[in-house]
Amino acid sequence: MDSALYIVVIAFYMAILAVVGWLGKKKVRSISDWYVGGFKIGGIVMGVAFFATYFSAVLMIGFAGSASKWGMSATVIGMWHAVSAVIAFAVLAPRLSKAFKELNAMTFSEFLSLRYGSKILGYTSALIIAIFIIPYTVSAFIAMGSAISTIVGTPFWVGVLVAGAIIAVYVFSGGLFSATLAEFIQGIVMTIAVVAVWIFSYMLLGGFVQAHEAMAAIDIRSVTFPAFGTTTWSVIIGLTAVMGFGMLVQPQMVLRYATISSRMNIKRALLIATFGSLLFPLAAYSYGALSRPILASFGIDVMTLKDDLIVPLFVKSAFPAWLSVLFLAGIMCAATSTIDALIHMTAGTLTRDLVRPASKNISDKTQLRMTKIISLILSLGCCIIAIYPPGLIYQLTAYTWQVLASSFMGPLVMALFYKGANKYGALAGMVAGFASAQLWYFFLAPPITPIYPFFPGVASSLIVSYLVSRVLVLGQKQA
Amino acid sequence: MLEILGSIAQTSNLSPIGIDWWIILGGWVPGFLGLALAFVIWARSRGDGDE
Repeated sequence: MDSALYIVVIAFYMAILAVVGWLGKKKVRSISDWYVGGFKIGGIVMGVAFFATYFSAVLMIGFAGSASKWGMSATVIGMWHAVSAVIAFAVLAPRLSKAFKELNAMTFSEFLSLRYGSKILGYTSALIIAIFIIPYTVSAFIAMGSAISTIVGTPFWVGVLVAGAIIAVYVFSGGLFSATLAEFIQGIVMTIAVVAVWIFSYMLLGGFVQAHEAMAAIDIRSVTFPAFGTTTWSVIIGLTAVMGFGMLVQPQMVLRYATISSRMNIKRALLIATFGSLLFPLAAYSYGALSRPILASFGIDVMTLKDDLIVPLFVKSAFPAWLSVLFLAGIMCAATSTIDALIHMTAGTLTRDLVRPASKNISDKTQLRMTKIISLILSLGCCIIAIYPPGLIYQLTAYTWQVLASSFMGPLVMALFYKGANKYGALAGMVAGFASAQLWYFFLAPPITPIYPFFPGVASSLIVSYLVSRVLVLGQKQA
Repeated sequence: MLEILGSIAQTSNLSPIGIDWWIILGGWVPGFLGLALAFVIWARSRGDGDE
């Protein structure tokens, strides 16, 4: 009975997204429409699309499962997402959307290439995106496949193929129009799901304060901030920076806040995105932490479980049927709203920044057709890798955000805030950030030191971008 | 339970809602301040009418 209900929910969801794909297809009349929604997407839709892209099933299952062991200090990571959303829309979006429109840039790499007048910068950034976004996309497919297989009871590959089929249907048809419209719906459903689970978890433990008392009774560290220098401390501080400030330069996020139609819509998106970026992770990290005393009442000690298994077990043990169905819908929405953004952005980058420059006289129509085909191939390819994941994928995913943030922070920030920034500074900053994050990851990352590669990576990217540009500007003036 | 909580309160920084003050000051306060700032920016922009 339950399985039949789950299948109905999945089929209904696919039907809705097929309609979204069809609506988006009707709106796509030019290549700009597919890539950047013709710069016509409104603030309310984009505000919800922003946090729907930002937060995936990895947060609802993986990070929430880890929060079960970290305790309420994990909510610190989530709350700083709201601060990052403010920076994205109040500080970066006005300048970035203006620059995107003036340069007629349709991808992140194209923006860097046009802003700095350097094709090498475009190729390099596109290569970094292509290499590091794919493992992240695969991890989102794996999260959805795992969730569907655990909750519904189907084989893992069925869950992955369902995700792939859903994405292919609407991203292929309507590009950014369909993606953001779908993300608008998905963002609302996934927020309702996590908030329902959050409230339900507090109710199970007898109330707000009583729940914290129950956590403290099991382990006082569940409600206190971790001691300075401990492993949990470095995880909380590191993830707060990586998932918060690292988001600002993730190419799929940049495409969300750089393509809004007007200044007024940026302000609308700011309010909605900040609200969602506060509520969603606060609820997810909180129910993760609360799952420990709840599962303890069923005789299950979360400290003996693998992090990824805790939330699915929490769902199976403690949730009534209606909440399990809602949670499954939320997971599907959270996973697909992130995957669609990654597929859309990567397909666009591969076509426009790597294939197009290598092909002579390629028309917009051919380019659009090629982008759509690449988006289908990407969806299929990521599905296949997700079904047969090499172990390395998980390791790559762990530092994808750090590598992208370290590579792009300097070039992007200097492009927007330093008029003297030039292509040599941007390229040097990108290489320095990328290299220092890699070196730190392999030789000095936790547990060797408590510092995540994000910090040295972003610092070197910013400092080298600025210094190299500055030295060259001074040199030109003296000459 | 009260005895346990009493001993906990003496050795930690628990707030009246049972969570460490550091969590509230280091995470919840900045988050809600961010939301308040977003609201102020949005409210002030309503008179701009640039659409």
